[in-house]
Amino acid sequence: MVQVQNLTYQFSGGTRLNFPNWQVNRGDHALILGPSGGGKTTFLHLLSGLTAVQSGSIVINDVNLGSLSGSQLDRFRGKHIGFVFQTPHLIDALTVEENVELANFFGRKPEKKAAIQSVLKDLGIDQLAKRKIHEISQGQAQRVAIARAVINQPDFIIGDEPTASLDDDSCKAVISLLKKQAEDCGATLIIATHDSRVKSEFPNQLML
Amino acid sequence: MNITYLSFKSILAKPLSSLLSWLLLAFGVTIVVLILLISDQLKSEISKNAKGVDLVVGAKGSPLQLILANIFHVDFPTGNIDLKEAAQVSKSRYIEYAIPMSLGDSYKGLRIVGTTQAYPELYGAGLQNGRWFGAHMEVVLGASVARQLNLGLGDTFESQHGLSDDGEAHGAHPFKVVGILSQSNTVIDKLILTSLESIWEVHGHEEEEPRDSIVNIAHLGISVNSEQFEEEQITALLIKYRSPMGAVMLPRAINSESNLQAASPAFETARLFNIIGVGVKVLNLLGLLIIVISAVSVFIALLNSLKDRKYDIAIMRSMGGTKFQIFIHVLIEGLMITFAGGISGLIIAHLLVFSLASSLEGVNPQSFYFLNEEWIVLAGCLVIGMLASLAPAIMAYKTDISKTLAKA
Repeated sequence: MVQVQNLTYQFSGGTRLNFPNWQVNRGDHALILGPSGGGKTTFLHLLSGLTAVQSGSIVINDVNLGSLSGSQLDRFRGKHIGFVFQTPHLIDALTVEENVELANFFGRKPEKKAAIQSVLKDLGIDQLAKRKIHEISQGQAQRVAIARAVINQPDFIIGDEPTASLDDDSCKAVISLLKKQAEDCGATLIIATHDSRVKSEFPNQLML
Repeated sequence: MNITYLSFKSILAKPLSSLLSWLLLAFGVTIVVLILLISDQLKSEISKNAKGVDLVVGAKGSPLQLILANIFHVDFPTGNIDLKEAAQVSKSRYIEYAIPMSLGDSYKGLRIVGTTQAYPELYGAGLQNGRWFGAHMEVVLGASVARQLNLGLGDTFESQHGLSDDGEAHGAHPFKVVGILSQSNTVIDKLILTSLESIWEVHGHEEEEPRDSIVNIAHLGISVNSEQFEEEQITALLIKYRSPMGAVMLPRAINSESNLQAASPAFETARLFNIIGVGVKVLNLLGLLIIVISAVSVFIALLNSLKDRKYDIAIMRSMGGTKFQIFIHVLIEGLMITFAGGISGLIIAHLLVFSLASSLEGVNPQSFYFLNEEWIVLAGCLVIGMLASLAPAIMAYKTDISKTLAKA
């Protein structure tokens, strides 16, 4: 469960963002909408502890993010949150399988090759496990990124424009894959997007 | 999956720049270690071969040449001295023992030395086979000589005049092998030993039949007839002092009061090292310079790669990686390259010494002996790698992930 209250953020340039109070319950997939530059990404980074809270409070699973130190935030993030970005951002030096393993490592979870294989299979990319990143397509890479986000069975999967660079079919596929994976591991989806194709899929919506 | 593996993969992902850094470091370390190894072994070789010899007395000329020719057998002799004069000098009360040497002949490029049994005993070389040489055209072979020439007991050969391969053959006077020395890892392994008389005989000074009036030169451990005593020559005497007083008195006495020259191996080899020292210093500097260039190349390679890896780093952080893990990741990458370079340099240097072993004249290098200095060089490489990767690692540590991800 996520609770946001009186949250504001001031950039070093002076621009100030005020975020509305907001609540997401467990399993209640949510959408954050708004134009580019409206603060969606900043909001997600605050939610995930990538940016420190300046004023107001964010409470996730009864933990107030403002009370955690930098490395505590890193650990909290590794344990509870999986990310999917607009571009997959896979590590080129590693194979598909190793990219997913990396989430195990940094999330401080035991490595489970079988679990990785089964997630890759669910996503239809288990044949690519040993491939290098430059040997797979953009669509396949995005699926690897999803596998990486869900492998640690996080409480929240945070998507930052995960569909923006995809065509209609891929967009649909990614959304349904994200939903299915989130349900399989009991995670709550929080997606920031300006992509109108996604709107109808989620009842809990926050306008920024 | 762990940080080390991640760093390793990251090195493999940019093979060309990693290869350059590795090559530079390996090359620099090779030079430095090679010089270390060779100068150390040269020094130990020299002290081993000069052991028990405090002074070399021979004909006037270059003192260094006298030492090189008579102790290390690498240069040509300065000339000959009269046996009579040598016998006179060796009577001094400052001398514990004096060993006569007669050089100038060779067989297939290997030197034949006319001497007494005291010479091999000086190096602790015993007989492996056969017996010691007698007076008449008998030789004892050094261990490497026997191997190299494939000569055994009872074989005969004809010597050549001079120390090079193309000398004129002494046809009428074949030598006979009567003994083979055991390996001593000293210069004596590469020599053919015989008696002084045999050398004289080869050079056409026939022994006169009725041996009238034998002269016994007890200090040199030989006895000759009076005609030989008056006419024959030898090349040098190897002398051991009876007391430290000898070092003060003998060289001055010999150099000022006779036609002979006395040279101290310790002094001359120190002088030799001074001469070589300049070259060694320049080479060492060159090696260190290459190592520093390699460190710069590691630094630049890491710094350049940081631009491409900003997203990788941000992603690792988003997955829960801490700043410190990222710092270690970049640091280990630099350390791995420098460690690999350093180790390769060490191995290459030892392999080079191994391959040089057979071609280095007068030296028997041990290729698999490691010096303490080498570990210092290796540790130095790691320190340099640490310094080179520190700044990039700190930059990686400070990467603003939020900004990086927002720009993606």
